[in-house]
Amino acid sequence: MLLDIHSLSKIYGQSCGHCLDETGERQGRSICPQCGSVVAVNRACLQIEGDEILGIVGESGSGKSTLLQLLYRDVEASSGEVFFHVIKDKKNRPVNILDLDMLQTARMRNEMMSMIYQNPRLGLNYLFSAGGNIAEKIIGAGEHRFEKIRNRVHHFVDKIELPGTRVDDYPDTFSGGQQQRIQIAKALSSSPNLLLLDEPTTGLDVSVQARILDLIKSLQKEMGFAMIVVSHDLGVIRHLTDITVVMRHGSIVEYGLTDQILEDPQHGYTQLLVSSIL
Amino acid sequence: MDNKNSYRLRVHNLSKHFVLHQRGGKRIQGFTDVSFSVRRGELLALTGVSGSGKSSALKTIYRTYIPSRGRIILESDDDSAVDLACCSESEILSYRRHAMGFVTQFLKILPRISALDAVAAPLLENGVDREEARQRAADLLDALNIRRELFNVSPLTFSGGEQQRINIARGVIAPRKLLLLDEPTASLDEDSAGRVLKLLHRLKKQSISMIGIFHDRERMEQVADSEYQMQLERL
Repeated sequence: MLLDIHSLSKIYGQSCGHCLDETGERQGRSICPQCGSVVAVNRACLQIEGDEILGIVGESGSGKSTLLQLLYRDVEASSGEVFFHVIKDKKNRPVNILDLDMLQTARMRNEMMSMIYQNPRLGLNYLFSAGGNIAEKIIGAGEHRFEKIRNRVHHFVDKIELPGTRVDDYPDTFSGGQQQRIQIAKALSSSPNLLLLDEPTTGLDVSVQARILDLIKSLQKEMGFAMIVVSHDLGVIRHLTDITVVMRHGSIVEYGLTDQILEDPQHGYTQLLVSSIL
Repeated sequence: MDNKNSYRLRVHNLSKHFVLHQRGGKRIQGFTDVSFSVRRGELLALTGVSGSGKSSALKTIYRTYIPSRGRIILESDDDSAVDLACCSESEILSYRRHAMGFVTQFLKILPRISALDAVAAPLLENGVDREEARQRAADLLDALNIRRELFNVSPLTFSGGEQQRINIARGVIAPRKLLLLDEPTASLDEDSAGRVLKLLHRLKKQSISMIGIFHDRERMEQVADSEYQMQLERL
């Protein structure tokens, strides 16, 4: 077990105490009728093993990106627990990462968990060169020897098939697909245990999409980290993931093997979603 | 060492129905009370008219479909057994990686990967080094009569018969102990089909067990050790 999520919720607004019961899949809404708060994630429970690739699908507003942001702690959770089994206390028990302070969160992000955003502007620092961005992550993970850092940067630049001569160029001199690849190199350069991807190929043209998916997949096989991929593109989910979670109105409505979700969906909403594939 | 007489897979009263929520909860029967067993190194052919649930049965064993009822007992070489019908998703993933494989009629791979790399991929996953994996993939493609000039081209550009042979190669290069074959020879000419059947014979000698669907009775009889006839469901 790598990640164990218990009853994780996020409410935007003044919660009235009834929000979680008044919203969700069964109620068919994510806005609390009593106080008007928006329940983005409603008591999500999920477990992920060490080398699994999990996909999250659902319509926009279903809470899939918020769930990722809660795990990466970009957004503060309203309630629930998340045990990330590589972070343990002095008695060797897994720690609830929602309780980590700023410094500990920074350490978690530098060494154990990385995020790849849909928009590379969120994941890259545009004041640093491409190589500088990757180096920043490697330094954050505790490497201080210049030679080692430089070698590791070149190793990853090579992996993402960027010409080595362009290491010192700034991110905005690269194309969108190349910027996305630099973001991937940066995220993986610290050898994380868990990689979070929020719509990694949305907005890229199809030829670049296939290449990015192939790159992510081969690096995952090589390095053996777990992934959570949020995408509304079921083609991406089919090619990339082993297990798929379907979300609606902030709730998880179905969990299953990806081929099972696509070929034998059980929930009415999943059947509608799958039957809508072009 | 493998005991040739012991079972690899035993299926008891397996049934599958589908509930269509978009059609007001309409129930469609896939197949009912299917029971058979396969020994180690044996090939069982599923037969029956179109619509009798042959492919559905294979998909249910592989857990692409969730079984409605029944048991699917998979035995390992050490004689330990599990019921695939009630395994967790993570357990199924692990069995798919090590114990059972599925060869469909349709090639599903990422675009722009060469035929050689697509076939070598399962070996790489098992930790075989890249050069050796590519060499073994090339040998297998030779045995299946794929022209060498195609090795570095994406199989998505191939003809139907060539794609199917790539698919078979991917399924058998690092063979699991149980292989599920859905029409492995469907779109192949005589020569290619003969090569595939020869390959299946070789797998049986390695005590690989198989369940296959063949549309051509003559080809089926050349490799199958036993046959299970599926009944068409009448509502």
